[in-house]
Amino acid sequence: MSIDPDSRNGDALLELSGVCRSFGGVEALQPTTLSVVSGEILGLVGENGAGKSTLIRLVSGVLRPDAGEMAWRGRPVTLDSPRRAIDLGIATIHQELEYCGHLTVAENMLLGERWPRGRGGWIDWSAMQAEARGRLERAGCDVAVDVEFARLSAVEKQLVAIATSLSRDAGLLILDEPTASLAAPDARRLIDHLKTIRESGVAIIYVSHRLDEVLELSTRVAVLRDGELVHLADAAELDGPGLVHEMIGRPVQQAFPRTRHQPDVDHEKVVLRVEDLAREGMFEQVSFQVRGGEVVGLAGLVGAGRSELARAIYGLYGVDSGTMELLGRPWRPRSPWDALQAGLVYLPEERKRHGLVADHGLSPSLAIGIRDRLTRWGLVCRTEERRRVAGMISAYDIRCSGPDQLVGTLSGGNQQKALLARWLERDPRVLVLDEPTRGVDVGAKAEIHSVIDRLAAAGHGVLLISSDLPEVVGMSDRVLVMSRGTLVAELSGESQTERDVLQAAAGLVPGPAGETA
Amino acid sequence: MMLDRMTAPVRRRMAWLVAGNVALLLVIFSCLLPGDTISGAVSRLGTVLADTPRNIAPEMLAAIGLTAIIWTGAIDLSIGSVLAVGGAVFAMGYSHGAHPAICFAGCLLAAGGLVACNGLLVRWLRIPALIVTLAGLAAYRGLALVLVNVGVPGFDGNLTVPEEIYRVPGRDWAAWILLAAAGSAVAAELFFRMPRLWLAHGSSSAACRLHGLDLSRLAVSAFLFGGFYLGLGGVLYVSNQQTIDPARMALGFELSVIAAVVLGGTNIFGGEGSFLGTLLGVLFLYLARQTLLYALDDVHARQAFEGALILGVIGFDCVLHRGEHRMEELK
Amino acid sequence: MRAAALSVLLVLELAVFASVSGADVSTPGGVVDYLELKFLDLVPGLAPVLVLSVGMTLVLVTAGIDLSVGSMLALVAAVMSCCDGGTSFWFTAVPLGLLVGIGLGLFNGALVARLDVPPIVATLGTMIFYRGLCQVVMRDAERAPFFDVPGYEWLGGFGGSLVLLGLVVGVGGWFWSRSRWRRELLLVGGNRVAARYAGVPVDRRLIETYAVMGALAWLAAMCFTARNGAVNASTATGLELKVIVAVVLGGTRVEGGRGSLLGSVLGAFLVAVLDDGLREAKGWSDDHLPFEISHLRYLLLGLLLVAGVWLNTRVGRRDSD
Repeated sequence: MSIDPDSRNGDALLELSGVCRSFGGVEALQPTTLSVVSGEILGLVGENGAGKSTLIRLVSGVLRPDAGEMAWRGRPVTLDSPRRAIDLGIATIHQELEYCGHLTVAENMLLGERWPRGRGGWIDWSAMQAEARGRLERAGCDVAVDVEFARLSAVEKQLVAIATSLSRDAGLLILDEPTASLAAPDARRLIDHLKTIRESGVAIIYVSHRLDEVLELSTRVAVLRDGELVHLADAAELDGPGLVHEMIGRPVQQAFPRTRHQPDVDHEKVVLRVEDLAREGMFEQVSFQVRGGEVVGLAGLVGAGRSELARAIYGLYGVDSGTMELLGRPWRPRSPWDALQAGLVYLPEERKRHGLVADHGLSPSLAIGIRDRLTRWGLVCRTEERRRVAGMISAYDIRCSGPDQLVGTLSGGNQQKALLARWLERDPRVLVLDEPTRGVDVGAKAEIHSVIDRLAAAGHGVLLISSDLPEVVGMSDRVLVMSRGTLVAELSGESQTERDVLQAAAGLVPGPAGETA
Repeated sequence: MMLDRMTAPVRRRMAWLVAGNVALLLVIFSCLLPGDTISGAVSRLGTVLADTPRNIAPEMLAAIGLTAIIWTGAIDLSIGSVLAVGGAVFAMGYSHGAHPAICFAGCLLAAGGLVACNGLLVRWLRIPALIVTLAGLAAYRGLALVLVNVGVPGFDGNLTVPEEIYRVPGRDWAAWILLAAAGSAVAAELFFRMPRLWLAHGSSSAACRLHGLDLSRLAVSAFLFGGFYLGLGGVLYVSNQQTIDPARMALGFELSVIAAVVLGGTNIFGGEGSFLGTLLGVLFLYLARQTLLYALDDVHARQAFEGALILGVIGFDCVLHRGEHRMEELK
Repeated sequence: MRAAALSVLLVLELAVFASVSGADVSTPGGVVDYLELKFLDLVPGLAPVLVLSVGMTLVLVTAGIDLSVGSMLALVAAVMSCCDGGTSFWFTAVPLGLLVGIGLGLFNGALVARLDVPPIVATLGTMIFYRGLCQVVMRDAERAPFFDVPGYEWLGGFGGSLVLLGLVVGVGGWFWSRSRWRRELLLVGGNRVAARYAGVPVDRRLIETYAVMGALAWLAAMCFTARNGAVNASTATGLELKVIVAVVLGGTRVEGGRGSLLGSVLGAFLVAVLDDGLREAKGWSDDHLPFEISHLRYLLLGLLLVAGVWLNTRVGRRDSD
């Protein structure tokens, strides 16, 4: 763990000293001291949960730090709102862009400003378009200004957003995973564009998992790990494997529960088989299988198409081509209920949006998963419900004040355990778990891991989708890696390491690797 | 050109409406033909067309106002009842012998004021516009009845206004007022900034906030605009009637206006649309109603057919937007 | 909590109207007499609103709304009135009415669930459309075969209403509170996406809800015609607003996900007492007010709606803290 001294002599634009932030007792960002100088591109890398997004939100004014100071162009500032940061010159281009889709590009670019007027007081649209065109040109961007904004491609939207920020005299541009959903040629276009911007003296913080891009673009690279800034060096001194090492470098190998035996390849039946599954715009040519008693990890970056694949297997989406087999029989689900009846459950990645209702009680939220088993002639048997709910609460150790507690008031870990309990109570044969420990504290995380291990030991098949590298590597018997909609690698045994997974996911391994099983 | 700023679906809708309006005119013409010469039928069609501005003006003006409100992502269900209040205020002025201009001004101010009030309540109470204006739908009707019973001496259910001078705005000037007002609205959307900002608010209020726009001002200004146009429409409506009956006037008005706005290409959730499209939509519904008049003798079936037509229009529009909804929802 | 507050309001309301109508409530005996009279008087008139409130609660739970209930009631009554009176009425008109009611409800449900029309717009449209169909059926006439039907009038009296309400609210409520259907509806209204992820057939449930509303409109039509004996084209105009206010006051939220039948029942009583009180106060208002007090009804209903929804949002926020 080394922190290189900041030896650059450019004008310091943004200086953070001792800035830190916690959420509910968990320190998301430890006291951090960092400065960004004009004309540089600072790459910011780190795993999910390492503190990158917390740092970004602090710098863009969405969050206030618990302690520490920030200075902009030498003067101390308090960023108490996103608007304040924008006014100062700190522009953030988020992954989910906010824009007015039905307005033209020119109108979006000049939205908050005065629009050029003609002599009678009316808007001079051609002058406005010329102004917008000029700004785009100065930013090196080549996009038509008179088209509906929603009709631009993803990369064009980003380019326009960048140009808009630059035209507002942004001194610092923060790009959060800009190429996550971009295809290779579009990502190339964006990267080349960023290089030209650098020459104008604007500083850029480039947050990304695509380590190859980070190394290509950045002047310096900062590595966050577990909320701490562990490495800061010139990009020239670093390479991919080195970065990965810094990102992961764990002194002690975390122990993951492994009570089950390695599944006997010949005798354990295949519970889920997927062949050449494709859905336009989401994923293509996906083929794999999961056996009973096996935990198959599915790793990849944001936008790789893992959740979409899972939803297709679960019956929420249809597929364009390919076949599926569940428990040995052809599987063509028309709805999630088909899946639940057939013994397949899916734990969605966003428990608040896709799983729970905040102001419902714990008991109904748990019971809804087994509602068909609690009902006779349309009526729910209350005593049976109470018994099963009590069983679930104790079996999964859901810390609550009682079965009537509102779900929204439970901690993240307990909410996740409740959601897990809801589906596990059905005793499914196949489980698809999407980020089961995201946003969950260490204790609950360990409990969920032992649950997964017990399930596999009992002969169920588990498809574990996770961006948590230690988890996906430590919990799985095999790891499939997806990138940009296709399976690029299958790792097991010796090659099943965090480094190999990250390299495959981040595109450092060119093209799909052959199956190694 | 100016059409570039309208989105493709809106342009397509306007093209369909132009074709549809022409088609309806032909249908009406063919209904007028039997038992008459061609020139006779043409002159009768001419009379129908000549009557159109005065009959269509209140609805068209109200539709323009409602369009702006819907653009920002809100809605106003109370416009029929607001017109009733306008009528009540007019009646109060008339029964006390006020000058016609005062009566009409009172009507306009009352209507405009109530709609503005709607906008302020939505903003202040943070309750959906749907609920506030649904409550207004009921409350304003009651207010109109109270006003007319208190303010008009000897009111017995309705008030007759026989003097010709009160017909002047609604009958003689209607076409000009409509031309000026509708023309101004179309000019505004072609040449001015505010309509685009209303659309921006409905498209993404988050983006507007990020760019530093004042959301309250945007939302309330749309209601002010809508109130003014509704008030103007109210003046023409009241002026076109011989009797004022606040309990029954403009019942169901809001629905045909909403249907016309949606038909004209404006997205009911906001962010997309055109005043010009709204005008075409109102005209289409009007001609459809006229067609029913000529094609269908049954007076009683009229409301049913009109209801079916409106449902058909709205249902068709929603189906078109359905696909995008479903996919977005699951993300 | 809400139930207690509503009960207090109810008592206050009764007190206000008692004093306005000049009843003698100075002695306990007088109070009992007054209440007994009120109760006997109110319940039959209250029945249609209460039955519809039950249905409206379900619809609101799914985050929807149904403005067409008045028109549905009128249309069902109109269709039933086309049949001849006499004993055969029970075998022709009554089942026919039920079929019509469910059909109208299914149409609403199809618009909302299959065509994705926002419920407010869809039911505003069907409100007008069904009223138009009612005009087609009735044609300016007023038909009154209902009192010629043996046993029908009993439905409109105190005994019949009580039995019906007991069945709908008591028995129906008991089934509702224990049903799996209810759990799924709460999820549909609380978080529609989560409902889909949980395997709830969202579209089907929505259609079923509106269909149940239609069936309850049939029941309400029977209560109504059993009391009034006649129906014309403008029967039950404005009824939907009373129902919505009753349900909203009862604590059911417009955003969906929560609903209380007990609250809706109390809310319906509040609205009924208000209505009745306004009617009784006519004498007082003729002396003291320059306008008819019934005109206040719409004003008050509108205010109550806004107040009810506003209160619900305040309470909701507190809970989620």
